[in-house]
Amino acid sequence: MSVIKVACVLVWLLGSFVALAEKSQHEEADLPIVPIEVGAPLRIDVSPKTFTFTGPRDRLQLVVTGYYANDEVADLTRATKVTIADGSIAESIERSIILPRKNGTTSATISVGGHQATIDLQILNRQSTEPVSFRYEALPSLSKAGCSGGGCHGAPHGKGEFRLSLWGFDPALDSETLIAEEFGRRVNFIEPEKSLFLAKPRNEVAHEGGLRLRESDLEHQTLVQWIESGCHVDLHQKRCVDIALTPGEGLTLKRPHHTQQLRVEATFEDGTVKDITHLCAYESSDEKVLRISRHGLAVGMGRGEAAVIVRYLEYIESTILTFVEEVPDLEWQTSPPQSYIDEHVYAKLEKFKYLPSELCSDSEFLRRVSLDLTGLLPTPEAVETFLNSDSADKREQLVEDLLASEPFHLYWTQKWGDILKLSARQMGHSGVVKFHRWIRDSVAENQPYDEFAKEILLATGSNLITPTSNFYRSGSDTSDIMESTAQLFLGTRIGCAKCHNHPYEPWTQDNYYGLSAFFNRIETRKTGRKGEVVVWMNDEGDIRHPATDEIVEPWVPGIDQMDLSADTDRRAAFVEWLTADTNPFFAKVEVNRIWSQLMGRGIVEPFDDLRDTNPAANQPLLDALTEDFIAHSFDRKHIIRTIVNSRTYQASSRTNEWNETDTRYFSRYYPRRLSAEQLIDALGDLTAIRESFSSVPPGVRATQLPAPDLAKHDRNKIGDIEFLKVFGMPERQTVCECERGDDSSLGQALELFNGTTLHGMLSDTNNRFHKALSEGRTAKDIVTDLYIRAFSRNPDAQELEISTGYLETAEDKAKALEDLVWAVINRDEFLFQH
Amino acid sequence: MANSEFKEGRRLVAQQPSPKPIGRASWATRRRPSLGLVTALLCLITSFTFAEEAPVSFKADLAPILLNQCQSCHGPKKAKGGYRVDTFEHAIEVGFDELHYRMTTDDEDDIMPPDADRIPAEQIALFEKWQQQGQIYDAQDPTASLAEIIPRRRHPDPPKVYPRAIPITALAFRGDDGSSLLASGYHEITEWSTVDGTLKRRIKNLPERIQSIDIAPGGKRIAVAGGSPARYGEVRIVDLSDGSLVEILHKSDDLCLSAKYNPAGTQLATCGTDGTVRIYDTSTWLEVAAFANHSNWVNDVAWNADGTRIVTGSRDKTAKVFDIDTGKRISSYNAHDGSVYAVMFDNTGDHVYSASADGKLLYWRAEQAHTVRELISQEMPIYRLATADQPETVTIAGGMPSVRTIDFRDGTTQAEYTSEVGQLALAVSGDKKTIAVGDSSGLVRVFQVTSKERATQRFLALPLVKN
Repeated sequence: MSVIKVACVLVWLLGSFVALAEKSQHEEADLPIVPIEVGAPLRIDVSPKTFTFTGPRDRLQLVVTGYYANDEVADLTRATKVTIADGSIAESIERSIILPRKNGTTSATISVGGHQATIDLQILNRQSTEPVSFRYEALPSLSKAGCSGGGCHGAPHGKGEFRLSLWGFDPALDSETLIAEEFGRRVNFIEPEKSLFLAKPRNEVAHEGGLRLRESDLEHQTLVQWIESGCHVDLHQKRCVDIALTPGEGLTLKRPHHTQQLRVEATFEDGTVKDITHLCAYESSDEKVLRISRHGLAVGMGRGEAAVIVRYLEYIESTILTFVEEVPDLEWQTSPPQSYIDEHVYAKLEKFKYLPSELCSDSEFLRRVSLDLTGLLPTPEAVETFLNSDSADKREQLVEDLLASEPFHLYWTQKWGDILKLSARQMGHSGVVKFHRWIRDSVAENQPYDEFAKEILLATGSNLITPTSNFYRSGSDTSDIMESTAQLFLGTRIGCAKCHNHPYEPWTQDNYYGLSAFFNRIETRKTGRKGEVVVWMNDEGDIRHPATDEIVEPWVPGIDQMDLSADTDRRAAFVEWLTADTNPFFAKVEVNRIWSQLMGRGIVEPFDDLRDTNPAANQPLLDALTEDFIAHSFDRKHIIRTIVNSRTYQASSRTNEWNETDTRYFSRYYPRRLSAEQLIDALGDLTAIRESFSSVPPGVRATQLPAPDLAKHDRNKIGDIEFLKVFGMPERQTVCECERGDDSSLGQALELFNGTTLHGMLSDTNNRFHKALSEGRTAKDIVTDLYIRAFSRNPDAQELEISTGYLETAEDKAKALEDLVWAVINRDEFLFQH
Repeated sequence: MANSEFKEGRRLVAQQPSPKPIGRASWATRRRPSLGLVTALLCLITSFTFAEEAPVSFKADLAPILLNQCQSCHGPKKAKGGYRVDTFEHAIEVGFDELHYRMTTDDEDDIMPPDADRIPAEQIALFEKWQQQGQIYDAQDPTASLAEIIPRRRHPDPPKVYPRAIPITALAFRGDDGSSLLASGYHEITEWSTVDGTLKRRIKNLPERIQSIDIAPGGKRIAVAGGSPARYGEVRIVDLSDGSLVEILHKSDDLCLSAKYNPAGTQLATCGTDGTVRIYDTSTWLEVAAFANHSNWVNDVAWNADGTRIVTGSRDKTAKVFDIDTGKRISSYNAHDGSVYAVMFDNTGDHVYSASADGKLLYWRAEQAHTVRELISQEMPIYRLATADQPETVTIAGGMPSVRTIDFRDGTTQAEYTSEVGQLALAVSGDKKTIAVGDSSGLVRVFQVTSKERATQRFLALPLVKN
């Protein structure tokens, strides 16, 4: 029960965030819409080709597209003249909407840009007294106004003691709440407009949620009509089975064209199709690129891509719109692409006119790739060798050397430790150590990723003998394990669907329990031996759907029937599906995760949140990497190698005139702060005062720790876990990489300013610089060594002059040297990977 | 006009905001000495200067704007940014220049209300005019809530015929014999013959919704609690002989939910969505006691037989017993897991019945708040309680499709009267022989305790369009 509550609170938090980000629906008057320039299209296309009105309140939104030379397209819907052949049967109103007037057949002629098209119209049931549908008209109207969103009354406990189901998921509950709760307080049958649930969103009486609905809005009229019908509720009417969005395929609009009218149709179980454009709620995945009016007009705000998200009850559809424009004076030029990665990245950048930055220097590359692959700064010897080498393929050679090194194995083991939740709290000390060793060996052997996943998911037996069975100790129950598995290997945050259909993905509650059914027979039991837990698979036990109480059969996307004989481990069928070459998620999630670990940002971001409503920054690139990964039998080192050898990875982090505003398409390397572990190790290497951690052998670096909680941390012990926590070392409570903090905080500034860790390192007379001073090394020597260790480069003339001058003239040379080192450490060039 | 009001000494010239919060005491001291000659002159000057123009009234013109546009975020429940405007005293502390700025600025971060349309220009103009006219507070108590000072005008007439049925939320028998029944309507109370189900009378000038009707001992007056959701709440005392208005009590910004006379008819207890319970003297209509112990709506209030105690039931899931003379809370009962809709003392006064949204009817000791017996635990809520037939019984109405009379000594069902789901109102005649219930579809059913089970009369207690 408590798990469900926690999950719902998380959903609610997500909901609040979404509500904050998105606010109310945009009015068109508030959007910067450039009038349509019709010009001379080669042809036009009208959607739909023919339409039948089947209800008295039906309407039809047309979408008219113009096709031009150079493959350009433009939405001409609102520049179109619509003429109805028989005006007594139907009428056309603004925004190219057609309304029925009386039963009959007629046609509409669409004229724009010198072209004409005709569509046939049939009107049925115009005189029908069919009441407003609570489920398919009233509830969507409340959704559209935002009432039933996760940040408002759709939150698990509602808002202001008024609770609706999330996006109208539970019509029976909502009808009770709206009509009957508290003596019918929320509706007014005599004067429907005065109903509380309308007066509140109109902001006519105090409403903390502000203005959400206007009297002139169609939603408002619909809701008033629903009350006038006596709040008619028919929960058994014909069901909606699907919705479809026009344009369904993504398209590219070029300035001055930057608007696109959307059209949404719902199909009901009896085959009727209704235009529901006016009943849908619209969202944009990125408001900086795209905003959508409440009437379904997408408006481009700048260059880039964004998803249009359309919501109708529990249905979600999305399409991607791309907005491009000419950038005057930009002369397109790039270094030659090194691989398919650069080709795809450059193609995208050229489309959006972001000129990639030049190639980074050797120093920058050495420092960057060492940190990325080993977590450690390069040694002065490595710097010297690399900078002095004039071998043409020295960068490739360096990458090979690093990939074969033990620090690489251990650092990438730590990355997996984060998301597999290796912690003593969950798995016990020996469990962590064993599992950690297993992952390290897997990385070192470059175990194919599918086998890696198989070994983890199919683990059985003692956690001390089969290390991977510790995975089944990382969750509180089998649902939790399933959720972790889905997020790790499918890139899906399916937890929401435990209690209701997922608000942003096509995952339903049925799917959640279908996936859970693969895992719910797993049993774990402690043995007498300390720290030992045995994992095995029961051959019976079924999961029941909380709503229907029926047994749910194991289910995976895209497969109708699974071969599950009674005595087999159900997980085997799941893993077989998961690791198949054809699985649409498995390889993609991993290449995106690797990309994100190297580039600081996923092609899909967040990298483990793959869904249609969260578009990739570069889909062809993601597809190509995925294909390459599968073609190389899930060879993770191959993908790492391919990425770090690309020009894209090796681009400078400095911006040029043409890519300053890009934060998404990888026109340059995006600098990021060293992680907690990288930082403490870098400080240790720089000062030669290395941290030693309790409960691990001496010499184990922070970037190689098996778990953050192997020893109880001691606040007073310099440099122990406290410093790491301040800089965002995760406690490994979730499978989300987001648990690792990459933000900046006051605590970090204070640690770097005069924290005990740093102060201890600087003032230690055994540190590298005090020693060098006492050995009588020259100021130039000391400063040069400092620069090489900190920045993987020599100081330039000015830096050298200032530093040596300061050191030589100082009265207390030791203090002066401490100041110099402190100043270097506090430079962005040191604190950041760039 | 201005002079006469000045003489009453009720008008105050608003001061500039003081750096310190102004408490009651400082207002009192401020009122006399500083309202000396200067203020008097100011008043006269402003009155004369704007003699031509109709003066803007704080209580009638500005208070409704502040109430509707600002109070939900800047009131007693929430005071965002530390600001409150729910009384004149609080509003002046914020300062009307500040309020004016907040309503008119172009700064997107500062404009109020946020995320909404701007306050209409004509309303802003009222503020400006009122400031020019000298910021005169034209109600009595600067610490009174906005809802209290807004003048109540005559309520609109009820519709001649109702376009649709509405729920019956309150019922009361008039007279002892159960032949005449008062029922809640829309802006009215209707009176029906339970003999033939005919409409006998309509009493107008009442709030939009009526949650409770209580007939004063002697039968001359009724106390009507109601209001309009999130708009206003009040208790109206109406003379039954001619339907005239006697008094308006417990003015608030959301529904009043119950009002009950003590058995002697000397005091009236009222309660509502503002979470307070108030006791009024029925000869002077002065408030003699008030209790604000509940943290949510107070749904119901009931007296004991000698009129010394009241029991209250609240949406905060508790019921509480208070002593009227000492003004002290005697006990607080928290065994319910849902809004407590109805409360009642038993015939001895030592015990209380309470009924709640989670379908429980509990019987407990008034002094110690100890449960004696769980009389009912059902799936649907219980909304109303009454005593019919025998004094050792309690009759319940609510979500279940029947009305039941329970013997509190052993929890057995004495009688079960068949109805439909959603019984929102319950009344028992003075002679305890007739029971009436009203439901969410507007239907009233009448039962006789002598002829159990079947309703003897069944009618829509609404002046409906006949289909």
